[in-house]
Amino acid sequence: MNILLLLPALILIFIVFVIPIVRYYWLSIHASSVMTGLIPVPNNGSNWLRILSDDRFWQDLFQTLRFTFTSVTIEILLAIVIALLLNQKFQGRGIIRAISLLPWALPTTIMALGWRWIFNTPYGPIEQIFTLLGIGTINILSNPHLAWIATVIADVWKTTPFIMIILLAGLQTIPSDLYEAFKLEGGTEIQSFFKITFPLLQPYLIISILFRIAQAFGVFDLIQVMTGGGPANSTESLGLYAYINSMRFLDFGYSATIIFLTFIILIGFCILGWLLISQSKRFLSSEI
Amino acid sequence: MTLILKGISRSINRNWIIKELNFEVDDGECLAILGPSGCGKSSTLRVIAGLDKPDEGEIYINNIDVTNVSPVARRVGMVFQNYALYPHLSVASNLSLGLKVRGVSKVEQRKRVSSILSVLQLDHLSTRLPAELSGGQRQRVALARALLRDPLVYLLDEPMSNLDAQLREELRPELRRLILNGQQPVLYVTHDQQEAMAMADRIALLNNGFLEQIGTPEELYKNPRSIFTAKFIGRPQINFLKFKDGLITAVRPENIYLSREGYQCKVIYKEWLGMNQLLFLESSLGSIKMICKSDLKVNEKVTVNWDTKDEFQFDTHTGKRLDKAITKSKQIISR
Amino acid sequence: MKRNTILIIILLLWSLSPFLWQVYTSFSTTTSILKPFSFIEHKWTLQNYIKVIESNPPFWRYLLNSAIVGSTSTILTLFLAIPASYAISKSNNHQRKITKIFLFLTSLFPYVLLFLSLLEMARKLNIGNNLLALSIPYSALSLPLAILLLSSAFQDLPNDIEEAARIEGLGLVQRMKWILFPLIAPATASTAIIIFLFSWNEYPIALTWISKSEMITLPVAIARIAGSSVFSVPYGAYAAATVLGAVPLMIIVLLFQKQIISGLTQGAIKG
Repeated sequence: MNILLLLPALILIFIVFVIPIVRYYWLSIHASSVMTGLIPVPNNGSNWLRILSDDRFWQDLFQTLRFTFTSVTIEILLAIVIALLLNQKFQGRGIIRAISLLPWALPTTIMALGWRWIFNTPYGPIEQIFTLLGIGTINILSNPHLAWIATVIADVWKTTPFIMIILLAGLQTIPSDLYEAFKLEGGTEIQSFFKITFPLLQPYLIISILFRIAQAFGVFDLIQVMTGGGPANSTESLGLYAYINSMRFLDFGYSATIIFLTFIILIGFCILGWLLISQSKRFLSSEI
Repeated sequence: MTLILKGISRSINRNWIIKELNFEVDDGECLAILGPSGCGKSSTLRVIAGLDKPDEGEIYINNIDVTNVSPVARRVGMVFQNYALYPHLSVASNLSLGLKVRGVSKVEQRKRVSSILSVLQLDHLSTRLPAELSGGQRQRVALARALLRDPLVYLLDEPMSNLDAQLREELRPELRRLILNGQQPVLYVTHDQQEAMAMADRIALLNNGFLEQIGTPEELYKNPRSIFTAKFIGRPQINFLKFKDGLITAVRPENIYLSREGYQCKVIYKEWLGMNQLLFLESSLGSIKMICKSDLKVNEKVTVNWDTKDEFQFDTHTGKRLDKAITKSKQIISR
Repeated sequence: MKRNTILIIILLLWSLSPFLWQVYTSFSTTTSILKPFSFIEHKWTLQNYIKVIESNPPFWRYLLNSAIVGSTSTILTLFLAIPASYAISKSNNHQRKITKIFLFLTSLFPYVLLFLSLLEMARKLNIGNNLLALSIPYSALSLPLAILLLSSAFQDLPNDIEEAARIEGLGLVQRMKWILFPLIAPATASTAIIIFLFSWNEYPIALTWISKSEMITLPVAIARIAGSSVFSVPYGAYAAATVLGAVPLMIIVLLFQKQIISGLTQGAIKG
């Protein structure tokens, strides 16, 4: 009887999460593009040969990794600070928590458009301020070396609240008598952060880091709306490249190859991250 | 109305939780199931209620085999340790929900609920939520729900354990008036030997899933058949004194007295209990507890003794009673 | 205390100013937009909003589409997730652990990567350009988190309450109706709001499944605006669109902040 209740949900999850991955692998060893009339034809792995020498793919992988690690690192650090701040008792705490959660709840495309306007040259407020200060325009969104930083800023703005709420939940599970006991033993505030808060917050940090790495690796909406991948493909993510290949170039076979390889690389990074975390855990627990 | 268990066993992951339980509870009789935590008391109750299935054995209610009957059809009234009141329903709705699903008419529901509320003096609380009640009030609502079930058997799972000591004493007469004086057999699970002795007609003492001993409170106190029973029944705990290998002699603290001849002891410390005092003595036989009226001082030297008739003797290895009193207690049971 | 006040003000500015800047722009005339910091000669206008509302199809249409998809997805997800969660909460420790780990991993999955295969499925089944059909992938994507949240809510219910109901003669359906649903209502509300927000905001699948302009959802509509305006300066109307698109969600967040926060935190603690 239990299985009957569970089955409809599991079947739907299976169809949407598991079948695509198998399908991608299958498509990746087929040609399926305008040339074949979008009918898959086996092509002896030429998609795979192509991707190995596709500079744009490797450039996008580099960009995606750069974006992921920069934004997740900043988000985690910022979220710790904000969570510690909002964990204190003060008047109006509920409403301030709600306001700080707003960026997370808004559709990404809406705020990506908003951020594009904020970084607009020359009418956006940032360029305007720089002009007023006499620094001159920096053209951030049309500078291939800087544009990705603008996308990181927008992503940090949008997703820090999510991590912050999870860490806040973690902070609330730490009983306050631990801090009191530590204080009576002569611990300072900074020591109590590193000796009590940080170790006990670890599971929550791990969950948020894993979740954010996976989500940032698949960044799509933000980039597509904010920069369209430009300038000179400098902000293009793997998700966007796969999308362009299927929807603009109508090459489903190659698009599937990109997605499948992205998936494999992501798993690799998750395993690596997991190993690093468990190693550092051992290191930390021996330290304490 | 009787409840009979025949060879009931239950296992979880190949561990026996209860093993070959056999007992009968007669009309209007209250049997306490007593034992330390994890001994299988609550499992026994759940098997009788039909919440868990036994691996072996049969259960009879009113001489009908109910082993494979659903909990509803067994018609048992159960009071749970944490009362299991529906937290989102008012007291009145908590009581009427069961009647409603059993197809009792609206008018009849209201009549029965209000009469049970007045019997339990809960009338003024009928619109409150369980969270707004005190522990004692919750317990009475749980009793009311069991009473409304009009059951064939009452099953009480540690009904007092969440109340403080004073409330427990106040609620005992009420429990007797409402449930124990009825026609139905009552099973009363508790870990508190004093509560079991006070409430029950007989006590079934469980140890690790096995029935250690069953009998009236007096039998268990006066004729324990094993070290386990002797230890579990009676407070302060019985003294175990070792005279020779393979044999343990046990004497209850209340049977030890000061005497001119006997065993030399020193008072180590004492607990003042009001009515009398509990002394902890050091002797060549090991430490001895005794109940004593006269005021002795710590470090004082005393001589104590006891009557041989108050001694129990046990086998060190099997833990079983060795002296002849055991045959006497057997005679009592068979009579 | 003083230090904290300053930090909180910075936090509020950081959270709100990008949005406030959109509001400011949306009420400014085109000439004022070009000189945002010339406050003296600044001119206010409602023209941008009128333009957005009068566009074809009208802007409220996108809001309605998103609301429809959000509601149907939420209902479908809960319909599937509640029985599944109940089943998981009643299964043995070993099965429960395995199912939960599987669900946790799927909820980590960057679902953007699924768009191509889902698009193929939509074409094969001929369910593109259908708002209601969109709730099928949305439900599937929301299910892992929804089941994790609801199954821990079921697990948190004391077992003896349901047992008491069984002894009293309530069957499974009656227990669901009278006991279990009311007791997991708070968790259901949190879950529902999080699913609704996700479905309202989802972009890549809506983008690829729906092409008829009167059927697109809000995020897609905004992205189309963005796509058509890469080099155009008169931003006022776009700002008005972002404000109109953001306000319903801000109201939801402020009204349901408790449910949202408890939903997210339960997900973190129990997930």
